Amino acid sequence: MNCTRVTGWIIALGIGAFGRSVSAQPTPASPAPPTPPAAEQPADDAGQTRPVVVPPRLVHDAGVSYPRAALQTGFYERMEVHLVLELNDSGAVVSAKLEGQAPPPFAQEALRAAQALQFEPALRDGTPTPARIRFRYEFTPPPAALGGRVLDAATGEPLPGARVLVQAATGEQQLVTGSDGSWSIADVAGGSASLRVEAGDHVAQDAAVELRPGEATNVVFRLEPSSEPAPATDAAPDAPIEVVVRGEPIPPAVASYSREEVRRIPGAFGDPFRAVETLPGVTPVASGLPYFYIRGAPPGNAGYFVDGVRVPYLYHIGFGPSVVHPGLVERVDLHPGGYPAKFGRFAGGVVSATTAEPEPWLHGEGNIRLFDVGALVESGFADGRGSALVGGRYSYTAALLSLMAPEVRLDYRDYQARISYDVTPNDRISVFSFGAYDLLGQVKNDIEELLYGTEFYRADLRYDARFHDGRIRTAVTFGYDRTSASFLAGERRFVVDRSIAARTDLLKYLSDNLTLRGGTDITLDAYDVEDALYSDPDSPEAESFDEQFQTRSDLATGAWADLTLRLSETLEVTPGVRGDVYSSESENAVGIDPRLAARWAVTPRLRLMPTFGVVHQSPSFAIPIPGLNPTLAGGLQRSIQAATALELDLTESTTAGVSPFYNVYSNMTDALGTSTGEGQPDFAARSEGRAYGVELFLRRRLTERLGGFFTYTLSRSERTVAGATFPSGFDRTHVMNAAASYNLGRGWTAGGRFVFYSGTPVQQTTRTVVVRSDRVEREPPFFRLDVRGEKRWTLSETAWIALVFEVMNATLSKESFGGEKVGPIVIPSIGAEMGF
Amino acid sequence: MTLCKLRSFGLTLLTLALVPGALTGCLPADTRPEPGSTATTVVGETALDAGITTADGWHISFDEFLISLGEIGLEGDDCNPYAESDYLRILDMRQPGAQRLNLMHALGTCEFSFLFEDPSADAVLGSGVDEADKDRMRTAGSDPFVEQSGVTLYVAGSATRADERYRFDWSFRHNLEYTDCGTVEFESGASDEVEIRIRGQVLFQSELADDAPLQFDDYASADADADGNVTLEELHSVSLPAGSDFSTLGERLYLGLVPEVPRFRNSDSCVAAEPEDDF
Repeated sequence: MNCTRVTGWIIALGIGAFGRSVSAQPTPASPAPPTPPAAEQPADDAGQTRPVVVPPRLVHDAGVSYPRAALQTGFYERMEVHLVLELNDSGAVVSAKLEGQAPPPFAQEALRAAQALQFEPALRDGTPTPARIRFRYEFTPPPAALGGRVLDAATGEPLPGARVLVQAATGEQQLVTGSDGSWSIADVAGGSASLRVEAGDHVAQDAAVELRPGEATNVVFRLEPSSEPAPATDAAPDAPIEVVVRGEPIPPAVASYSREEVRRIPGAFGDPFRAVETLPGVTPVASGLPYFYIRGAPPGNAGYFVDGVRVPYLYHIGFGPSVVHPGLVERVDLHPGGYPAKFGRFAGGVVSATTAEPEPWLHGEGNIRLFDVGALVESGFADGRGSALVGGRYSYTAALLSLMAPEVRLDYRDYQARISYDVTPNDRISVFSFGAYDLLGQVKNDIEELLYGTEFYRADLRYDARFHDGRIRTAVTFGYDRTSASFLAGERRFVVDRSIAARTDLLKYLSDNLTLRGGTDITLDAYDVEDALYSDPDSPEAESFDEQFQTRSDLATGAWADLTLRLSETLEVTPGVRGDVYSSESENAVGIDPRLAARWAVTPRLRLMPTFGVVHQSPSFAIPIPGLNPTLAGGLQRSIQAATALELDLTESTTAGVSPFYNVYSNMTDALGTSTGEGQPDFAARSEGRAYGVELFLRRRLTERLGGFFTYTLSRSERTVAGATFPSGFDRTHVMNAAASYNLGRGWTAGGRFVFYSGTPVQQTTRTVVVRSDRVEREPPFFRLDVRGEKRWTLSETAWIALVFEVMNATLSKESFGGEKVGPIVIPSIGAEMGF
Repeated sequence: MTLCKLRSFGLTLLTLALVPGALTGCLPADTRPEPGSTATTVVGETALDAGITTADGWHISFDEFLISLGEIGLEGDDCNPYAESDYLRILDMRQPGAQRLNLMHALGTCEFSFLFEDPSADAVLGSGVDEADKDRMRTAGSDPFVEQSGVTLYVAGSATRADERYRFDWSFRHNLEYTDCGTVEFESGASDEVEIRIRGQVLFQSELADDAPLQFDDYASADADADGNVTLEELHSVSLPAGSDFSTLGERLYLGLVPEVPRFRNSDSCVAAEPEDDF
């Protein structure tokens, strides 16, 4: 929370709301007690006794926060908001209304905070009485922090005693660097600031920076030595000045994208989830398909979460968009391994999305494309205490396909709805409901055949509370998943999973250097598998399906805790542990998962982040499909994950990193990775495995004029079955993504992404000869180019409209499977987007 | 907020949470009409358990006659299969009577096909077949005609005539797909049966014609090392006269006669060819 400064003023309008007429009386000079003695009552000129009125007195004001939305748009002005409050006879605020005009973020924050004001009630002849008063909030932007170091450009050594002059909105300040060349100012106004550094026998330098309230700006000067003492000059600096703005810290070893960045990644179609495939450590199963291996772990081992709610899949059928409207997703994090203790029961990576905070003013966005339309609208109610959001996507692919292939039916849609209400400024209840539906079928001889159909729905009822040293969230989630599993069972059979889950997350700051997090969760899944009607009773496929997927109830419960210890200014360590108990019919299992992560700021720009973790998971299907979860037979899968990430901030907006990793897997259900290529993969087979490699990335924020990223993963993923070790079926030695986006000006943006990856091992197995060799031939490598172009028009401060053209696989590249070239699979997208 | 209002608010929230799911749409229920069913059975054209007698006086008795068949295909624009039957079954053709190969449900007029192929790991065992038999047939090997493949047809036995006796132990590894076998009608609610005949005796025909006499003299003469065991390699070393359809005795047996062993509905309409690789 940004620091706050609040000035509250009470101006008594008059006392005696709700129909009473009262003459205002001068108030006593000092705050009146709740029940002043009514010994003598003054008389008016007519000799009538007038009531003694004491106005309400403010006793508690929690304050307001300078709206983050304003800071993010670069608004740093002081702002006053005038309110009219109605108080009851206890002094509590029963109604708060805006008086006059104020920008929505400030108005909403003021109305929210006013609900928590506490007054001693107004008194009328000694009796507490309701009152209506004016109240004024004053918003002052939080100060910024400014600091840095002065170094010798030639040697890199610090320059102690250098003079730093700072000219900011608050005035001019002069500092002298310490023995390590550092300097700092804790309290500077936001906005433009100019700096000048002079150091004896070095050439002076000037710099201009933009200070953002609430954030720390770090400026490193590298002064060139001069041959003779040089007087101060006004010459522009030649040496580069590095300015780094420190925002909120992110968990160690996590790769993230913000919504605005994702919009500009070519080939991602504006979908935060689809952008995950560009991150290091992610190996695609096939170009464009939404399934991937994460550090050697198969798709079925990855967990997908939206605000802590588990979702069974992220993308619509085939090459479709993500199942949550991108406008609702604030950020997507990929935890490739060694994730925090709060994530459990998934032995591969974790993709976690965080939705945007409720914004109780009318805003929204929409888009229409060749094959679908989507929209999102949010508005506030109850004077800003509540907000309601609806969004969704609807595909008209069925209508389009009916023109080209009348017998094929492809349909997908999704919805999101959220209502939140601030019961108090620190207590919020909300309901988040979302779901998705996908169908692929065909009509043949007037009979509708369902080739693949799946749907899932979630309703998450949530309570969030903040207290002075932490926060807590308690939630209950109802879920319904259903899939027609004809591709697996040999005939059209539905599998259903009705679930109810509860979770509690707690964060508590025990001290400045100690943060405790913990929680519990429990999930009950009731699986219902439709009986076979038309399968051959001797069919091994049907028999295998019935063995793996049974009508039953499963229970999983877990508890976790971790402790972040800040051992010094630059070093923090987070040990954690998680325990899970699994129960399915007569089978039970227990998993204990220790975790350890650390973050060491070796220098202000260089960070080292080792992570280690053990994770257990119940048996999983090869790819995540709603309702399709095998029984506990065969025991838990386990992975041991170790990695060390090294990140270096090259400039303010450019970061590079390298991360070697080593994962070991045991008792895995990885049918895709261990398939012999003969017949149906054995989905119940278990294997051992390991994956190791190194990930590189170089990233410049895509929201810069020129932004881009480069990610490269060099890795090896192996499996061991019956003593034979061989490359995983989806082992790809090299995986590379390189993208760039350039703002051409006048609303034009263009970008491209180049994707390259090695081919998978060629199956050398015949029907009866299983070849498991360490030396394998590979399919040819694959590459493709995605392009994106946008023209945006700004209609007002908040409204905009854009035309977007995007093509995945503009190079028409074909991919090789089993020695045969498939494709090219090209996804063009032309559409319009708008926001307000 | 009063308790009553809180409860009302909560119910409103719950309703709003769950209603959109219903509005989005659910997967369609199964509205398909009831299908028809057809069972495929396999029967020996000749009772192999009793052996066969050739025109040149040899009596052939079989110690083993294992065949791997299945993966019935139902296709065609007028055909709607309701379930797949993607598995092979290993059958011991010395077992008397008809044996079930599979049961299919479909609707319409379906073009019938099947595979004669070495067994996969999930191949089903027929009556009288055990895991050792399956392992034997799944063991890869090579012969003059096929490289590194399992066994599609395994025949072992002996031929005797007076005081002469020869043994044979033949593993045929040739995989074939039989298509264009004709159509099978599936009527809603009706049950039917179709038959695949296993004509073991054709292995000893002197020619490919259905009415060709059975013989063993040629095979006996091929025993080059006179060990009383006639192998496929020995048969392949015996040349046939110029003008024959095949160049060697082994080739005629392997490539000419073996494909004639399975016959659908006692008709030679099926076209046998090597199956396409699965993708």
